[in-house]
Amino acid sequence: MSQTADLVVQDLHVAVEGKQILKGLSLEVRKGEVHALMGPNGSGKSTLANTLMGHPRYEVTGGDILFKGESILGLESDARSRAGLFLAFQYPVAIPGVTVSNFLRTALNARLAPRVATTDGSMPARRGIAPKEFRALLREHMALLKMDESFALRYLNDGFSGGEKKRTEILQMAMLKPEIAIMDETDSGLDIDALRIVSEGVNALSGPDLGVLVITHYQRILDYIKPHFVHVMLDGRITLSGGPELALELESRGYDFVREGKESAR
Amino acid sequence: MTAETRILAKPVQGGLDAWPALALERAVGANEPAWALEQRREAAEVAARLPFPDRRLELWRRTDFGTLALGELDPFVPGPQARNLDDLPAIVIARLAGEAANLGLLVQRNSDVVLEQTHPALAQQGVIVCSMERALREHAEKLQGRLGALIETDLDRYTALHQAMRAGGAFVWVPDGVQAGVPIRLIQWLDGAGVAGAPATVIVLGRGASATVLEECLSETADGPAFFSGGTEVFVGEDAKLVYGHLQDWGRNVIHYSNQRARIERGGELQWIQTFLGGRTTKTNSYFQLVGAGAKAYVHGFMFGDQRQHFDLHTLQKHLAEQTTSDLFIKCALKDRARSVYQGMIQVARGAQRTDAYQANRNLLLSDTARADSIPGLEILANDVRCTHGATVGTVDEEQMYYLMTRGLPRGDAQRLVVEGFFAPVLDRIPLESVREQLRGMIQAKIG
Repeated sequence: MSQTADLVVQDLHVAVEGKQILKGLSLEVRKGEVHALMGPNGSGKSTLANTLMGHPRYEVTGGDILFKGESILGLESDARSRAGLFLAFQYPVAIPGVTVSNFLRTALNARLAPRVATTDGSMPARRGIAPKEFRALLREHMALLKMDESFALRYLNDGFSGGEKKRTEILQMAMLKPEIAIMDETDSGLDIDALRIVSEGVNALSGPDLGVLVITHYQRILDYIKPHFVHVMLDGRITLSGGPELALELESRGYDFVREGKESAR
Repeated sequence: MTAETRILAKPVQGGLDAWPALALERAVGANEPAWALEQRREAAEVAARLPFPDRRLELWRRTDFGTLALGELDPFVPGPQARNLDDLPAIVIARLAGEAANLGLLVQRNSDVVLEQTHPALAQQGVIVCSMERALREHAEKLQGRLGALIETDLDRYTALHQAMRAGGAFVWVPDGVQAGVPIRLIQWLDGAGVAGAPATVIVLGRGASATVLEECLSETADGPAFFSGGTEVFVGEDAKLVYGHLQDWGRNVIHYSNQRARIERGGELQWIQTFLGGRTTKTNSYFQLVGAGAKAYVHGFMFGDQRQHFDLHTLQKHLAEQTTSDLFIKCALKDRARSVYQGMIQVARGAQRTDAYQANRNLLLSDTARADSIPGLEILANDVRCTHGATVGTVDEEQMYYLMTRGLPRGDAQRLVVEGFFAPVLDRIPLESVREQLRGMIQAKIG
């Protein structure tokens, strides 16, 4: 069974600065599926997201992460990305001086097949996607997310509003075409309009070629992005899994009912 | 002669002590006006009584020229006249990127200006772009009271020697109300090791005039030291606007010491860009005097060092009149064992009320063995002013690296992007696109 899922998390244990955060988390996500991972603050949701992406601060102390059948624990973040994983950040990082356009072109080019350094060790200046083709692609995807064209020349996430940052995350996701995308609290800090635009973006990208793991504290985003599966996370583990109805139940009853029924649910 | 000509430097007999008299002799031969000759004599006297600066002086505490034996260099290496662009060194030709026809252009090679190209548009406007030698013959009245007026002769022995030894340099004059039609580029070139260059440049913008002037230092790395002593004096007239760039891209054997001064009159505006990429040791004092109400100076600079390069920049924002503005931002990134010193001072005179002064220095260390010193300073005698300054020294942000790497950028590419981004705000201010792109390329190559 686990061989067929694209992303398989097996009994994952993760520590941050010596403190155990994930305590045996298992999860499978296939392309074409939308999973929601819900949990209260401190349950380890963002730890899972960043561990999947290979953040150096998170130490895997047990278990495994398989992507397309192979362990990715030995891969750095960039290799995981190129393999087809994507993380939409809860708090996207500003890169002053680097335009959205320049960044995206560099990121797309990094995905193109092997690059050969010149004899002096530097990479050839012009490589990969043709500028004209790139601009067309960028314009097309920005239109989808209702982003103004001038956006391309702004410095990445530098002085962006919360909504602009999240939209830029989805723009990156659209351009990089991952197979499995993890959305870490994408709904946080968004007003209803921004939430709708971001969700519509995700929905437009969803389909048989993309698996999505939506990590969220609130049910709100699930009004827009409809999950096939809902998982509840408490204290470093998934304690309850079910269909979309589970999200609604959480909304009305809070996380306490999961806490109370934790033993029986497992 | 062609660009391939081997030019050999040889030490002057009698060493350093013999230099000023020989320089004076040449100046007499070139028919310099009496006041200019007198200036040389006085500077020579100052040089004779001053010792070379050492680490006991505040401005020399963190920088020295190592084993440089100035007396073994040749300050009189000629530059072969260029009949046209083809006679210029290949690096200079490449730098001009085929755009020479759209410029006012002056090229100095070693001690001599070898090419003076006045653009028809500039000539028609009465703009002067010529060698200092020619200017002292043909426009002496415009230089008197300006050449040597802003740079303090007794600042140190190198500075005094520079004024005694001055050879070549440029004079740029933009008459009142004239908006110079094309950019003006002043290029300095040194041929190989053993050469000492000492050009003096004066740039004058009349009332309401505007211009873009770039001074660029270029050479090929040679086996053995060369010394460049620079002096640039800039006069921005009332309501005039000057965009000025000083771009230091020497070969790695060059030791560079320069003094740059700008004086900005009422309502005048100076946009100043200063970049250090080349050379072995670079020390520059850039002082900005805001002498008229409403004068503005915007100063942006970057330094990017690798190997054992050493950069030292001292800036002075001197507010002498009310409602003056200065905004200074210096960025420095260092690799390997490179080292930088930034020493900045804002001075606000008693009467300079409602002054707005800003000074920031950001340093990015790309190795454990690089070192950046940042020494900001304020001296404020007025009571109604807004002055802010700040300095930071840090390494590449790991969260930025992680973020970029999660988008598939290998570590090297991610770091390159962060460093490029670090320089971008200054790079974006370099006025000519071809120059900007070349500097961008040099930065990229240096990031490696």
